[in-house]
Amino acid sequence: MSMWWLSTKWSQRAEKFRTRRFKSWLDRRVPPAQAIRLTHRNIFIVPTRQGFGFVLILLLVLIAGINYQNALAHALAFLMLGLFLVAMLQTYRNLAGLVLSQTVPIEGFVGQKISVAFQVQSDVGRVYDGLFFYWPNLPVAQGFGVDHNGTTIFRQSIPAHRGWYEPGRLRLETVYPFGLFRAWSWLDFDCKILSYPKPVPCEGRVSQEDSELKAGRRSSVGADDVKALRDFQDGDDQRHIHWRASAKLDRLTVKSYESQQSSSQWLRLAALEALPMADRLGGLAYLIEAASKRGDAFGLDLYGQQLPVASGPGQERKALKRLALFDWPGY
Amino acid sequence: MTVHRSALLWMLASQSLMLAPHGSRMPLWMLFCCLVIGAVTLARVQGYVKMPSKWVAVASVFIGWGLLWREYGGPMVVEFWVDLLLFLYAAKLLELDSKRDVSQIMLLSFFVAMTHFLFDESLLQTIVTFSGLVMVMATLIAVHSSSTQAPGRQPVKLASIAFLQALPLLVILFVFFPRLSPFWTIPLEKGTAVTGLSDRLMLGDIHSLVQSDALAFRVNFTAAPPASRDLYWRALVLSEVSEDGWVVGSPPRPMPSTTVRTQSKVIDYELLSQPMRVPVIPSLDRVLSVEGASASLDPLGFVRTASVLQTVSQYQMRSSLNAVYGAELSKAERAAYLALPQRTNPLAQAYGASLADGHRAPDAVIQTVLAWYFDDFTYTLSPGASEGDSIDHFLFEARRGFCEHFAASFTWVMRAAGIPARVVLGYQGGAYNPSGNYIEVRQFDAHAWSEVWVQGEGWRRVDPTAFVAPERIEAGMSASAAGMDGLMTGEAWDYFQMRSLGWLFDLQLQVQALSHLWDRVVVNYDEAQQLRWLSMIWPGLELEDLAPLALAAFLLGLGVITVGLVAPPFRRGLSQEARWYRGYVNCLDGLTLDQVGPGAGVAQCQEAWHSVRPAEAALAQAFVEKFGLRLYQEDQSVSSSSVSKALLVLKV
Repeated sequence: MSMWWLSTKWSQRAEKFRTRRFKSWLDRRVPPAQAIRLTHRNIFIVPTRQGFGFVLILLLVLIAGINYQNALAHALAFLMLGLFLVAMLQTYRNLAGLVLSQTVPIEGFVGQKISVAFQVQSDVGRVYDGLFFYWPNLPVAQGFGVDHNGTTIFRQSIPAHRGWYEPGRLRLETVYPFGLFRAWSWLDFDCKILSYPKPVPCEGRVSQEDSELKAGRRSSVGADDVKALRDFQDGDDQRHIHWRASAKLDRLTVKSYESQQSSSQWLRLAALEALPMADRLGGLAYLIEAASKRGDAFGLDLYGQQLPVASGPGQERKALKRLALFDWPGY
Repeated sequence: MTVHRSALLWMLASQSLMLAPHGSRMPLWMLFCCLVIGAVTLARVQGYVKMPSKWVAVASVFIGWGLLWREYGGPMVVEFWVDLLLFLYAAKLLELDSKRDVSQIMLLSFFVAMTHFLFDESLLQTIVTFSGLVMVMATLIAVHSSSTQAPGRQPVKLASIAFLQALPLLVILFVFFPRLSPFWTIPLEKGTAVTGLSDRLMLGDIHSLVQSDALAFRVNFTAAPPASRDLYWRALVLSEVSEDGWVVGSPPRPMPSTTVRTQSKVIDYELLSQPMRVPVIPSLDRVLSVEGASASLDPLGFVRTASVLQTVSQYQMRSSLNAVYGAELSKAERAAYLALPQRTNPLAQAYGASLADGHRAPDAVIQTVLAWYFDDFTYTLSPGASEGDSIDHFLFEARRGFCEHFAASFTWVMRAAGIPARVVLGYQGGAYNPSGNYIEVRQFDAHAWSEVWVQGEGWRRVDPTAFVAPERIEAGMSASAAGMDGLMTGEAWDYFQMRSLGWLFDLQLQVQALSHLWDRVVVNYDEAQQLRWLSMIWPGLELEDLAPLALAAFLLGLGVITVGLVAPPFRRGLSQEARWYRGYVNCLDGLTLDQVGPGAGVAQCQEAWHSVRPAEAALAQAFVEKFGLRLYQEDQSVSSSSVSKALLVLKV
């Protein structure tokens, strides 16, 4: 009875009210933007646990200096105070002047760890170190630092639900150089994460043109029917690299399977009824990946919502996006 | 471990630097333990061994605690706590695992740095400690850097910069911060033996002092320093004979009329004393006044302190040279200064009595004995051992000795002859340091002499050593030592060897002068000094004004550093081109560079112009053309003023 107020929802409401107040305050202070320059307006800074420990030791040193009337212990305490304040300024400086922007969309399969890229620039020729990016709501994969201007990349786990996800504000944090202060900023790029369904390995019996496909596959297994060699491009499968040719030509070269690109198929959701409901979209994702890895052209048919037959990385992205955003009762 | 290897190496290096100053003082087993822990950690860092079990760390802490308790016999000595701290500081390495552990060790380093200053406040120690702290900060930088490559010397460079930025604040606070009186007093019993005078004179005591080149005190004179033969630094008056030799005893208070007749030369000086074994401060001849922490004048004419000095302390003194005092002697005094034990040294007693029998004037008696010393005695620092009645042995058999023998035996004979006499312990002479313009007295300058009381004159200083070895008094110990090869041993001998090395000795003089300056100006900077220095700048400064002054100066310093470090970068160092471009972008109402995008080129901005302010897009285009010509084609026909003008038109 004594703590009745805890049993009511008042505390939760107060908490919600506080977070809402904080959010609206933050929205006014650091409005969403394509690019954000870090200044005193959007950098927050407080001492870390180590910083408070440092102050405690400072006070002990000062007390010792006073009690033993020791001039150099006084000097040490003053030096520590100076270092503490310099540490504050230096930590602030490790964020101030950075200009951040986010351009590349963030997409990936559910649960997958993907690389998220940010543009980090600074118009002062200073070295920045020990920067960490993360979304507080998402499991932190790994923080990365940048020590020069350019693009920074950090690994981030994709959320566990298919579709659009708004991760909220990105936190940029640093304790560099001394770990006595933590400076951070909440960056709002309005960015969204698109999660594709997680691929589920399944049998390839999905389309009427299946036999044609199988024939193509057989021939590719049997003989080295490489039609041509071309230079390696981003997105190419590493297994297709022709190592011997690469060594001779002194650049990465991949085998291109001209014959297979001609094969085409329709990937239909309806054909996967054998799978449990939850795995059907995953199964399609697997097949899309497999087809585009082989370079096949394919079309997508989601209970009548059709994506015309095409090939290439663009087609793969379009198809996966369809899967991610597919809305049907039961899915 | 999650910490970069190079950061761990930095940590080990800085920890060694912080432990090193205590190395010679800590118990040998502890030094060994620290070395073993360091070696094990180094092996761990290199990947040869794994992290020891948690119990190793726990056990080592308990064992260390126990051993230290045994070493110091309980927690009542500061050294116990200091060594315990150092032990924990080293043993923490055994459970080192994460960045946080490294941070904690590095923070503890600052406390360890403080303990350095409890034992040594010299300039050298300060330099060592502060360099250690630079390494500590460098370690913190290396730990928090996310760079995966070995950082090289970069962390030390950054840490040094941070130190230099913090230094002005240190200086400001050091000068202005009000000095508080101690909250409570903990006796600082530093078990370390201090060399110095003791409160008794047994034959052989001074001999051990003469072997030591430890600094006793240093003196700055306001005027030219007196000649060496006038520099008798009185520390203690020994007025009683006990079984052990001459002791301080409890002399009766002098007659109140025994004020000094100051017809003699009065000199002012500033004396910086090292820690002493006895609660006295040596002072020149007859001291008239003294200012300094807990110092007072003893009725017998020397300076006492409330307790034994533990740190270097500074005193302002005024003395009169060759002053005569104690014109009247009370009965109690007379009895005390004539008292001799009955049965010891019978030959000396008989000799004294025979001198007194002739009813000669005291002057004649004194002259007779001194003449005998001059004729028959030899000054040597290795007189050999004596047994039984040591004064009889010295006077009638050995006749070889130095100041303590001469002073002890002379005083004895005087008393036996009916002349009130006492032994004075102190220092004589000192070496003049021309670089710092001060006189430096070391332990080997320790000296003993006599004071005899003559009717109608008062106490007169008689130094029998001056008759046996005049060069000891005229030129000081250092000069006379040159002629005594082989007689002097130990550190003192090394010191005198050093003197013959020419430039190296000059260098040493410079270093000593610097260290003296450090002790005077920095180590002894207290409330009185603070007021003295600051009232030179602000005459009439009161102590109460210090706190606001300190705050104001501190904030001013902080402000300067802040502006220097974090002034908005766009206000500084931008090229003319960048300012043009910024001005151009800022002309877009409600659009800042941020919103256009950081990488936004002129083309995107022009689009924005067309959409936001189409009427002025043409003007903007004119600017862009000029700007582009100027920037990319280095077309000198486009003057910078024309670009500025185009921008100005746009702004209006």
